[in-house]
Amino acid sequence: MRPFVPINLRDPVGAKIAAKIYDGILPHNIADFETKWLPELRKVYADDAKWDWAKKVRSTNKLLNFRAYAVECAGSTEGLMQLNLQHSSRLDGHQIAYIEYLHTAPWNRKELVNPPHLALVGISLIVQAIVSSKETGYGGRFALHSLPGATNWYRKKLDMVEFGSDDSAGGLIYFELTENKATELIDKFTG
Amino acid sequence: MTHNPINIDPEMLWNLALELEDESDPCVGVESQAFFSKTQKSPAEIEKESQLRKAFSAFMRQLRLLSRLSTAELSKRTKIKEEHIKLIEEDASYRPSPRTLVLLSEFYKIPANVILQMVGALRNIDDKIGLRMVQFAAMSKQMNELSEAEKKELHEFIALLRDYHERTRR
Repeated sequence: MRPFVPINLRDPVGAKIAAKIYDGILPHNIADFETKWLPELRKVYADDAKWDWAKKVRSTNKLLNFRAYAVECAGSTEGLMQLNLQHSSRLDGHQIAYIEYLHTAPWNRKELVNPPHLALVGISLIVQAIVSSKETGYGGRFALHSLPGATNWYRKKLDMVEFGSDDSAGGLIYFELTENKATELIDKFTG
Repeated sequence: MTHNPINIDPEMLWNLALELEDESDPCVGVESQAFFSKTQKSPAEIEKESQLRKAFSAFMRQLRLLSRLSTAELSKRTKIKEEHIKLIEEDASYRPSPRTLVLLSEFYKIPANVILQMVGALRNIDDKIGLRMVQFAAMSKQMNELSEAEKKELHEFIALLRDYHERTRR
């Protein structure tokens, strides 16, 4: 059976909706992305945007250092995340998890649909990144390059260490979550 | 490589998620930038936006000083959280919500579309306004009061913004 973590998301009227974070991105998740997400995204974003995400997933799915996750609710893919577990911390050079990407379905993105159909998808995936890092022996530490609209969230809500923008990453800002902060968060969701 | 599995309590996770939630979505990824940022920005465009954001922060501070208001007083008058006002003035990377910008535009009587352009919420800011804004920010100092010369300069800049709005409406 495909491993999963049960989570709760929130619908537009505030009700809890049961969902699961599955270990692994499967062909039906990629199909959802291509047939349901992309048509919606193309209505909003540039038509000529180069997007080879599905190709990248297929090429990295079998690599041992990558872990991928899909949030599913009622058979629909609501969020996707991929972790690279071979990444060196800029704080101390130790291995930490690096989030290669984290996407939520367009109907769950507040900048496109407010209130979103299902809220808390992205936050749940961030928690999964902490869990994966902890289970891998990295103490819950992880790093990421934030997209512009989310930098304040990583800075203020997660209290991540900010390293400034990276020219090599299109000017995106690089953040790391420390072990202390990760432990503080883990204590809040483990019984 | 895998250590002991962690048992997540869904109820506790729900509470944590609510605690962490705010107006933005956590989005990640160099790979996603082209798609989720509408267009890929060149380094020159990124630098220009950065300059404009700094200038916007300075401009907002100057406007408040011109009105002789503290951040707490402005918060009370505009119904914008004081914390957000401070972020707007001090953190050039902070992105105020469109509603906040509209409230500020109404309070200062500066056209909303000009404010939105300044903060980068709209693309293709008028180069003349952008350059003037950056020059204006470069002149401004981190003081708690404006000099007479600074007040005059600020009034002229506000007039320029209103005039720009009128011209672009036609």
